[in-house]
Amino acid sequence: MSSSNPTLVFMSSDGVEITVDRDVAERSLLIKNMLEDLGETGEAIPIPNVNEAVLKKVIEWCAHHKNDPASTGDDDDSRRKTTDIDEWDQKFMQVDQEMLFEIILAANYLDIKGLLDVGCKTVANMIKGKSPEEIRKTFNIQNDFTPEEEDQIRRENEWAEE
Amino acid sequence: MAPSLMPQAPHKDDLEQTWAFLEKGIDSVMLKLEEGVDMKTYMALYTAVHNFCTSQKAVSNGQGLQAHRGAHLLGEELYKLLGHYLSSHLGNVFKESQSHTDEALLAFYIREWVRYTTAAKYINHLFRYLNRHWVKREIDEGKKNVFDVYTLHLVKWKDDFFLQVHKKVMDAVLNLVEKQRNGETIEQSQIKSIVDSFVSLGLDESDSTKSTLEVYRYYFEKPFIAATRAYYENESRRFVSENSVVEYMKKAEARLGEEKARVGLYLHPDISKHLTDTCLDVLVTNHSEVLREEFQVLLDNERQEDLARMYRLLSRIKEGLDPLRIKFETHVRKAGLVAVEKVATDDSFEPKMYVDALLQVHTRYQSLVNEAFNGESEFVRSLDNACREFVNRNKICAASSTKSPELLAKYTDSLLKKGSKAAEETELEEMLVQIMTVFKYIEDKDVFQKFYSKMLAKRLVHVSSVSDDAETSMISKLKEACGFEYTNKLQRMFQDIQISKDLNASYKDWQVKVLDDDDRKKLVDSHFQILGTGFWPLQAPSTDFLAPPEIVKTAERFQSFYFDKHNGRKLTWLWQLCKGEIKANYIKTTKVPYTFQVSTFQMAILLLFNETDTLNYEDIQKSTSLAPEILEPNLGILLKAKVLTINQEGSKPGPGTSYSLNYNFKNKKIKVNLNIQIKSEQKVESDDTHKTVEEDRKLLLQSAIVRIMKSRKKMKHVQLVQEVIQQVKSRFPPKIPDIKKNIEALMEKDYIERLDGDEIAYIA
Amino acid sequence: MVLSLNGLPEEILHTILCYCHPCSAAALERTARQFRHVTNQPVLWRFYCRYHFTYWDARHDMPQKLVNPISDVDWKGLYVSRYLIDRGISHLLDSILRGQTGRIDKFRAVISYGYDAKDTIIRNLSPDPATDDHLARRYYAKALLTCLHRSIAVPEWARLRNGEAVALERALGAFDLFIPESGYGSLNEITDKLDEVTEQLFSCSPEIHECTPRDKAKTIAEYLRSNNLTGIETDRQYHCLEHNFLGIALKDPQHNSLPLVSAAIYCYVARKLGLNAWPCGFPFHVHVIVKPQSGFDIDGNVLGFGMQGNPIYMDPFRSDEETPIMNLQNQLNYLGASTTEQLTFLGESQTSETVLRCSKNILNSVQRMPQFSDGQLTPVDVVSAKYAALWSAMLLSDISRPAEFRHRLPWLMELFATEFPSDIYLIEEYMVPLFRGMLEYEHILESLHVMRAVDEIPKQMKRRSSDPYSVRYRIGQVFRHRRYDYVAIISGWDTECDAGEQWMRRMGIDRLQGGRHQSFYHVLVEDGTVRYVAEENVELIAPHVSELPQTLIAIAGKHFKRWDGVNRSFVSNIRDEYPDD
Repeated sequence: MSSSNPTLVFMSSDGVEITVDRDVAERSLLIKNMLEDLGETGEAIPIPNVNEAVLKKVIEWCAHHKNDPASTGDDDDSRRKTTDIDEWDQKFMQVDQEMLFEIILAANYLDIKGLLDVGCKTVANMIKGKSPEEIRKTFNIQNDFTPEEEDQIRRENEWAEE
Repeated sequence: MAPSLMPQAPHKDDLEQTWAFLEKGIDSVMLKLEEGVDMKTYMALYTAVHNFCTSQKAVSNGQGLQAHRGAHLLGEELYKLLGHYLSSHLGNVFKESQSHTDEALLAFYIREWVRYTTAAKYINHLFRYLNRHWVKREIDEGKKNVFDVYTLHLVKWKDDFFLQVHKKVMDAVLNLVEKQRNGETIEQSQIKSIVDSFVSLGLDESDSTKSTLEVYRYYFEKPFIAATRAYYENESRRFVSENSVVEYMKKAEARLGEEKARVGLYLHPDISKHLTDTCLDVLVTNHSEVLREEFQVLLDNERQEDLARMYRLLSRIKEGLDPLRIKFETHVRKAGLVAVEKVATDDSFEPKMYVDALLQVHTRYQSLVNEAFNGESEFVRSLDNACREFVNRNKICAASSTKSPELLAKYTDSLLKKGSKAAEETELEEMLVQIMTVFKYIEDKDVFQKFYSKMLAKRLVHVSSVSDDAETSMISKLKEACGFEYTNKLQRMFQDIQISKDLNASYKDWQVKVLDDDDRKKLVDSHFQILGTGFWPLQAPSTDFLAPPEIVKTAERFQSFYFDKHNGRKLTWLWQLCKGEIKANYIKTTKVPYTFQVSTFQMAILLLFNETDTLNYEDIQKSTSLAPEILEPNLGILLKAKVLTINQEGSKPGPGTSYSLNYNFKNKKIKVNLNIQIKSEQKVESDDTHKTVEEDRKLLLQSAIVRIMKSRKKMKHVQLVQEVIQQVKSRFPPKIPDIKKNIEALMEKDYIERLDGDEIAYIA
Repeated sequence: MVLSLNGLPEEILHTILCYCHPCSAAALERTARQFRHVTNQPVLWRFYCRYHFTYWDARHDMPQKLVNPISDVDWKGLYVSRYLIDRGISHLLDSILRGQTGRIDKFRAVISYGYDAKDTIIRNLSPDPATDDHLARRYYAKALLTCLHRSIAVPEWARLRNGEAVALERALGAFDLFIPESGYGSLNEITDKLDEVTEQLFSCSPEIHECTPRDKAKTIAEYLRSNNLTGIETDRQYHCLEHNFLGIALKDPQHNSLPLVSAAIYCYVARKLGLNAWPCGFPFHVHVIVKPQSGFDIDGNVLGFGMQGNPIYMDPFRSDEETPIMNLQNQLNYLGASTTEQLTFLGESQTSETVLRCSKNILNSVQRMPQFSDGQLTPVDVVSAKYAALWSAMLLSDISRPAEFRHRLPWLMELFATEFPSDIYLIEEYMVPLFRGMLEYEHILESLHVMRAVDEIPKQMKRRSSDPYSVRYRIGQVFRHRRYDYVAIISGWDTECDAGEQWMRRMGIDRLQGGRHQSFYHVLVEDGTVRYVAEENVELIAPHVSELPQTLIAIAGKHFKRWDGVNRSFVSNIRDEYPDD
């Protein structure tokens, strides 16, 4: 590890210490704000909601994106203009569903907007063009409607069927 | 396991537990931040907020089909509890504040404000998850009175603390400022901090990301301005009653500067205009009457510096200077009239004295305008108005308004004539520039032109110009001021003289070729000037004249040369302008014979005496054909100079008298100038000039009318008159009756006709 | 339990749904109860409405809806209705592209959706080049879009004609709607631009509200001129066509505009800032007249109740300063204007007068076009500009002078029939009534009737005979004219000359080698005209698509689906008429 790169230590929820470059860590607005408020103390930063496997994945993403322009805030409309995902991110997101959702939750918790967006886009693409039955199958969702309810709800959404 | 190092985290679904945990954390941030917050607590607090907001308890299963619209994301409870916490904290702060007043209160306010806003930044970060989702959704859905957590802090500060104490705080601030105005030293940074705090509280209710200055304006600016007004009303009233106006102006200027500086030192720039306006209102507008009353005094005493100060003060208020300009104009006009009157007391004043008097007044006040009134265009206009008045309407002009242009022209002539006192070329040029200054104000510019061209003609004919350069310079100045048309004739005259010089040179060459020796012996040395008829203000001689044979021969020789060159032209000899020199060989009293400089008329008379020593009046008249009104004064001059003697002692020249050559003539100079202008001629000339001015004006008016009507074909009488005034006013100020008279005249000549309804039409 | 979609907090599900098409939201709703809540959030459907549709018809009053509390609107219902409109319009467009019959009514149906149709049309304006009929799709989408814009513009002038109050900037903005290149589709877009200018001025000189009317007038002129918003750059031709258009002037970075348009910009800003400013009908050069409020003079001094102070005149085109009335009067005197004429010239002009003047300026510019078209393309389509000028001139001319109408009618009708046939409804609704009781009335009705009949009756099929030489060339082939050298596409044929006897005589058909008894072709020429060519003059070329003139490709969509790179010809979209080609 190069000495010119200041580093931090994360402690995952399952108690594993992971060393991270500070600029990579600061992709997380939570970490960035905390460092701003408290300064650096040298002690390990506890990340109580994220386990080692997920945290490593998240750090991998942050490292790859550490030079992205800082997000301009909570500008909804601009980020939703496209569901395109760049190639590296697509590959990055080729994980099992559980990991995918874990990453999304971690990004949400750590306040990493770019990663949260990529995760959500990935899920959106999994839903795209699917019928209700296909969606249930994809995500293992139990149909808990009564037949009457199902019928009513189908009629309400008839417009969406070509 | 690591979590054992973490503070005990609350259960995410349990509000009470969560809040209890959060409150403890917030308390330490709010009250004991200086002790520091450890990282584990920080992360645990953030996590507690996150976990509570993402707990799934609200989205429970088994609800009916009816989708529950309007249900919210989780977080409302935390938001409300945080609000209550802040209110109660601020309640305590308020209680504590009550024991402080004045500067101690300011110090307390600032201390608490800094502590509170620092904490707010922390808490905002800790509650960021709430901001990102619940708060954002509430705002998206158009909820009023929901703010991000930082803004919530400010809102609470304003509602629960600020509104209770702002008056007391402002009293303290205003006390400090008053102390400073009274000359004491104060802690300025305190006020600056208060200003910053007030400004921060300006929140745009509809969009919390924007801020407004409303709170600051209402709670700070308003009382501040009111206090300023009261302070200066008081001070200025007292000061004016105890000091001179001049002293007051100095004071006011100093105060205005101080207040301006105050803005930069510790106020918000927003107040700048308002504060300045208030000070101007109190310090200047309210006392403007007193200031203006002093204006005349300062003018009379020529207190330039104080006038400048008054100008600076009054120029900053609305319409502050208008009354001054009126007074100034009157003052300058009076000064001009007085100066002219002084000149007029001397009956035989020189034109130079008159022009100098005018210029002196103009120069004095122009420099005042530049130095004291910043050269401001409105004051320049007042100066111009005043000058135009006293130049055209003063005691000397009382008899005839055209006196000014006449005198100015004469003065110009005196400068441009040989023998003028302004020897230096640069000095002369300067004086010509001054003449133009006066010329600018002359209304009857055509009169000036008439006189000027007469005198120029004389200078040119008599070769008495001081220099060609000076003449050219003056003509080009006039051209610049009035246009080509105005100086056209002057320029042509000037050219004629130049052409004549060349002509004489080639005439000399011609003579060498054509004349034989005998001719050459009898040759009279001669110089000729050819003057274009249309351009020169000269008339043919008013008298018959038989030139002496020597001259006739010389003239005829030149004529034959000239016609050779310019076939078909006509030459008229202007004998009255010709002159020459004759030698008095008959006088033996000196070694070198006397030379008489004479007019051609005098020459004709004297040459008669070559044949005989005595001649009677009738003989002379017969031989010269001169009219008696020319002959008699010339004889008079010769008598007075004692060249001739009259044989009937004591008689005036006239029929029945006879004259003898005076062989005993004596004079100190060898060259004797007999060619003196006859008094009566001078007067006649001046009157003639005025007469021709009237004639010319008539022509100018008529040609303007015809020109306008030709292009319009038809127009109302009134409009025509307006238009004519527009066209000729650069030459002279036309009188409306004159215009009407000339319209009538043109109608009689059938150029134009009157239609119904006061309309006039052009007859093609 | 394994973490899955149902394990995510609602805010994340919401984010995911924002990335989904609304139809997917509907599908997710149907999977299980737990998704009913998140898929029915009004914020979600409001987002869909805004994100999936840019243009909304005025009847929705979208700006107000967006400001109002979210619960005031059934956002999901609104989205669904808009979605269905979108689908309906897509079907109509497909049907227009499928056959030549009944297009008028289909156009009408699309236009009747008003501005709601725009998103759908725009989507079809730049279709994927792989689409089977992309040339035709683009062509008809453009025709629909411009027709839609005109159907917003024309009623504006019609209201003006009826004496209703129409704001000047709207009446002038209507010209921009005729010009596809202007980029404007609604008058509000122009008003928005003007508001932006006003807003900026206000932020630069916030104290302007405290100024006297005279100072205000000056400040506005200074601001507009120093920001180059009025007047014309010195290197520009005064009479350039684009200088006539308010919207273009506002949008173009150089902001060049004629005095009339400069005055209109000035007046809008001035009125927003509380001045009573109007264009003044001064000859040759429109000025602005600013009148003080009743009871006050222009410097804000009190005059007394009901007294009217003297106005001032501004010339925002070329000066920051007011123009002294003397100057104007002198010029009028010079022109020999009578006193009553002077009053008119120096008074404020009616909006309709200003529009008429603008229309005259446009015709004037169009006329001068050849003079300075030194090869540079104007950013404004000349035909559209001329069409706009004629419409406004017809609608706003003085009814008491029918000569002008009659004079212009043939021009308008010809342009309409050849270039803008989709406007037949506009002609019927707004133009025909003007001629009621006049000689031309029956004649117009007759020609409109013919147009409708041609549209409604299915085309007579023209089958090829077995003799392959009777008609040598096929629909869609590209050729160069042997004598006139232009490039054109064959869009129809006759086995022998089918034009009238008169035409044949005039064109000297019998002097051709093959005379009148040879095949003749209807052709689409690169300059946009339609001509009728004898077979002997056709010289086929098999160009590469890159060699075709762009203008030709643009109009090819009228009759052709796409370019066929293999056969090097256009693919017919008029099979219903020529089934064998």
